[in-house]
Amino acid sequence: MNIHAPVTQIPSHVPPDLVRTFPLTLGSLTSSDPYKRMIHDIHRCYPPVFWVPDVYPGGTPAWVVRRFSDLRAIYADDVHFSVKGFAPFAMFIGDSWDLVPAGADAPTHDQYRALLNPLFTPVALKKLETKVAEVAQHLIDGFKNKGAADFREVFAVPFPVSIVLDLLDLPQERMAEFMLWEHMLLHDMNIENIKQATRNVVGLFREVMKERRANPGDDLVSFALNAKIGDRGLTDDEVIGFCFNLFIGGLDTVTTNLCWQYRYLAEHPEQQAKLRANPALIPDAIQEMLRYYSPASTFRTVIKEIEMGGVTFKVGDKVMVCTTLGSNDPEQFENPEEVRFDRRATSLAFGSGIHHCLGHHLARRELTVAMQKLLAELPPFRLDPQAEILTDLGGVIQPRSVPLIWG
Amino acid sequence: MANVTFVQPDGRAQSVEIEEGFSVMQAANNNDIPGIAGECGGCVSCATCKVEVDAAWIARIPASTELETSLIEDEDANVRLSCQIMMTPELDGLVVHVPASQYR
Repeated sequence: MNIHAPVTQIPSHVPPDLVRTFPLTLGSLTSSDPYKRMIHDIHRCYPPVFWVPDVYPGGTPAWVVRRFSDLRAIYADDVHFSVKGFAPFAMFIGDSWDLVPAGADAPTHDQYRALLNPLFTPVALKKLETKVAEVAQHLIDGFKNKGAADFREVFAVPFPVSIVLDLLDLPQERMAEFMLWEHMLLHDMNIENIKQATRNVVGLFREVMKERRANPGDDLVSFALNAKIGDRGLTDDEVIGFCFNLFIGGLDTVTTNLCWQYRYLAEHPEQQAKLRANPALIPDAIQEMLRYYSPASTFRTVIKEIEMGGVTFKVGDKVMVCTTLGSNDPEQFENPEEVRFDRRATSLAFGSGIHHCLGHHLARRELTVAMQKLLAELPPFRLDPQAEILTDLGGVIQPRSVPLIWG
Repeated sequence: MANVTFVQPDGRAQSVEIEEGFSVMQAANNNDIPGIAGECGGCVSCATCKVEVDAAWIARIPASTELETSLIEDEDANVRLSCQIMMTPELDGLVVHVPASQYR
């Protein structure tokens, strides 16, 4: 683990002993379960802050911070850290839009959130309740008698994605194509693929915007086109940034958590039995698995020099905000490598501070409905012992398959 | 300074001091009160700082905004987001009850 990375150019403010390889870098693939050892080994072997030459998308350097308390401080600090450029998609294709709201700093960010928060509150989401339950039931009916399935393919992808496509009023029959773009954007280290996927998504939404301007509907694209901040409407760049943000935020993250949760339950029959016997434990169990399997990382850019963990971050440095590490910090969580359903801890699963995930109420609802229905409808399930599971590392840590068998 | 008491589900009570103008959520976070998460830092988004305001105090708390109400699924009207309760001299001695979990 404790291998120093071979680099040619290290900036003078970076102490050479803090230059490390980082196993979670975008484009890496593992056949092991990174949450069993890899994450915890980083905490055991690495300093609180270290410098990785190729961890920022595109293969450039960034600091990595692993302590929960330091990460929470970064999330709360918009004087030293900017979210601009946290995901360089627009830059890759020569566009100038920023993600809305994730790529905006205060005070613009707060105006966006004031506009968007009411759309994603538990009460606002009540109208989706029936839909969410119906989609889950329909998908489960399709595979429950088969005795075996790749859970990722039959449920973890189509369940949350069909709900997001519905919210955006995009055609369900193009789901496979959209998911390919999503994979190219978030799990592919080939920069040409990232660029192509970015162009595809932007092109899609420019078309949709044109169409919704002519025929506004009840969907989120129409909402953005008609929304007002004070007395101004959103610019085209802002609407694109909003749609792109929903596309990368909404199509992958719930899928990822579903994959991990059912892999965990398949590998831990005693924990699965506990939830089957007492479904009232499901929300707390989900909260704990969200902590343990926090999958996402974002980036900040230093806009004012600051010291952290004994090193100086210079203006322009990139800093990785890795929820996976923060949510498994042994200084914050007792024995973080244990999944304890009664832990009820606050983690970084949805981030922290003003950028805290806009969609987290929807995500929690989907995860809860999924678990209630799956445990009621499927007999006890386990992992197919023949199958090898590959996991993509990087900005979102996600297994490529979850081969379950039951009955 | 004003005083707030947090009562845990097991009845254990902790009293802390907070400057007026700060929220009850901040009082909890500054003093490591268990059970109050405050994930979004008080921007009325995450609903992880819920408390049940003691019946003796609820009448003195300003009414909730529509956004706050839409974040609380609980039927109990005394359940509020503690980030939206700002301490004032009138609230000195406030008692709030911490839920068993913020995530259900």
